[in-house]
Amino acid sequence: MSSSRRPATLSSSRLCAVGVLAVFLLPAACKWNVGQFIAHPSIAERMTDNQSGELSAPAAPEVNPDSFRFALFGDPQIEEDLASRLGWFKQEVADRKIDFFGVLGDLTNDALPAERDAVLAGLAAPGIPYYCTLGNHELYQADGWGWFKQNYGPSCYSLVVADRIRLLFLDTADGLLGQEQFDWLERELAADAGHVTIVATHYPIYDGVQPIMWRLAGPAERYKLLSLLERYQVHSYVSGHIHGWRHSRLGALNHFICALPPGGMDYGEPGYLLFTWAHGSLSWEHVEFDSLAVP
Amino acid sequence: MLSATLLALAVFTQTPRFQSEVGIGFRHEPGVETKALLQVSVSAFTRFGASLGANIALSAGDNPGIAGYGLDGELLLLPPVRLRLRASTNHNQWSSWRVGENSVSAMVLVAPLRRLELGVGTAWRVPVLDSAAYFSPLRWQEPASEWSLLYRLQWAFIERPAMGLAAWIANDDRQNPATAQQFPFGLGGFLRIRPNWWLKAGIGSNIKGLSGAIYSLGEVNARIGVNHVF
Repeated sequence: MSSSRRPATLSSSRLCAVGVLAVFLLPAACKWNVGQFIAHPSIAERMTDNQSGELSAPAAPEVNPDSFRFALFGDPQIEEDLASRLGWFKQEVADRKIDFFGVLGDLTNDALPAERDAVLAGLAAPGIPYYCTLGNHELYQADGWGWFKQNYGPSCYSLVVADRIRLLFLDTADGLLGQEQFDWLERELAADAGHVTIVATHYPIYDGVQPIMWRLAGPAERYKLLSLLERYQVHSYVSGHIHGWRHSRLGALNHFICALPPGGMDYGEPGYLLFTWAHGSLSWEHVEFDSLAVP
Repeated sequence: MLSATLLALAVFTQTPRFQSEVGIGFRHEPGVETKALLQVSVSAFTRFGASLGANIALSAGDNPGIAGYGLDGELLLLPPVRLRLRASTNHNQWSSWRVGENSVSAMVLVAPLRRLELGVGTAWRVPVLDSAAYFSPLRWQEPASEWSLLYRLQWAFIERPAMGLAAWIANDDRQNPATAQQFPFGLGGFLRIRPNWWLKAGIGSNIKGLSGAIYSLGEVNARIGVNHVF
């Protein structure tokens, strides 16, 4: 006798129901405010804030103009467990007599209050001046940009150190520069008075030959930026976003990706980029995280 | 260059069947460039389903002058599903920035359904950042070279002999090559205006910021042109 039971397969209506549920439940389970993926303040809006005069650019650090050191790294990206490598970095600041440092976005992973408190405390702990710019993770909550500018000021600004080095912090949190920031960058570069210039931002321009997407979006945008950096003889471009360590030489430009995340790396070793100004010139080294040196 | 290519194609393909296309375009990428484009291409077809073509684009506005040029070829491997192999080499340049890009690409395209076209491939892109040689199509060993994945997903809403309208998600535009960080999409259509004469038009944009999940519309592209088969 043949059975009249239907085979145990999902009907198309059930598949649709599962799909619809997934669409609504996945964002609900996510710690991020997924509406911000689209509804975040645009780079044009952030640049309006940056140039409004209401956000004062951070004051330059006071250093010995003949000899000083500073560090740059991206992506401390503190998560819910509040783990980070900032304790090790604090020890490095003391050991290597670093004068100030810059953080290139993605300060926290989810932009939750506890993570924000932890990164504020972790970055303040070394007790030296520090400077930040915005990463994409800062924008994962509706008040992300508001929190950033309240605590750190503008996301795009210029910092001249001891009349020797000029650091240009750019806001590439959404993977592009935009009209207003390109205009600002070109004005800043053209107005140079002979400083050694370093551009510091979240997104890299280039990230090796593999066809991955952790880099500024459009080829034309990248080429325009590279053209500007070459024309004005920028010394270095330092970025994060992807959790890696890579130094590339693009013509005369040093292009760095340097991340110090709490977890694993996509490639390379976690660490920070240490710049030293001495004897009238600038040198750099990558200092790798040393788990044995964690206090 | 195009007339010489036309002659060469006639000799090598031993067929008099040609297609030419002339179009104007507009491209606006906020903060990056705004320009009008004049695009010309010619292709020759053989009876075996192979084609060879050449194209050139000139720009006005930002980065005036030559915007790019290239050669491409296509081979029909399996007619029932229009399985094709496409290969191309291109040079694009941005005169005001004094930057160029040479690229070579290969794609496999197939139409598993009458209205659906799918394609996947890869491109090797070589930026020429040397401002003294940005116009050279012969520079192939440069820093910042990279692979790009190419894809095409196209669905024809209307497909009649005299007109067609299709939506696409694709990053294989030879004059505007995208990277994996962009998500290009658009609409394109054609209308037969006389026997062997076609009006073609398209509009597209792309989404930037995929790797950070912070999305923005990146650019606007529009094209209109006339295509003639003779």
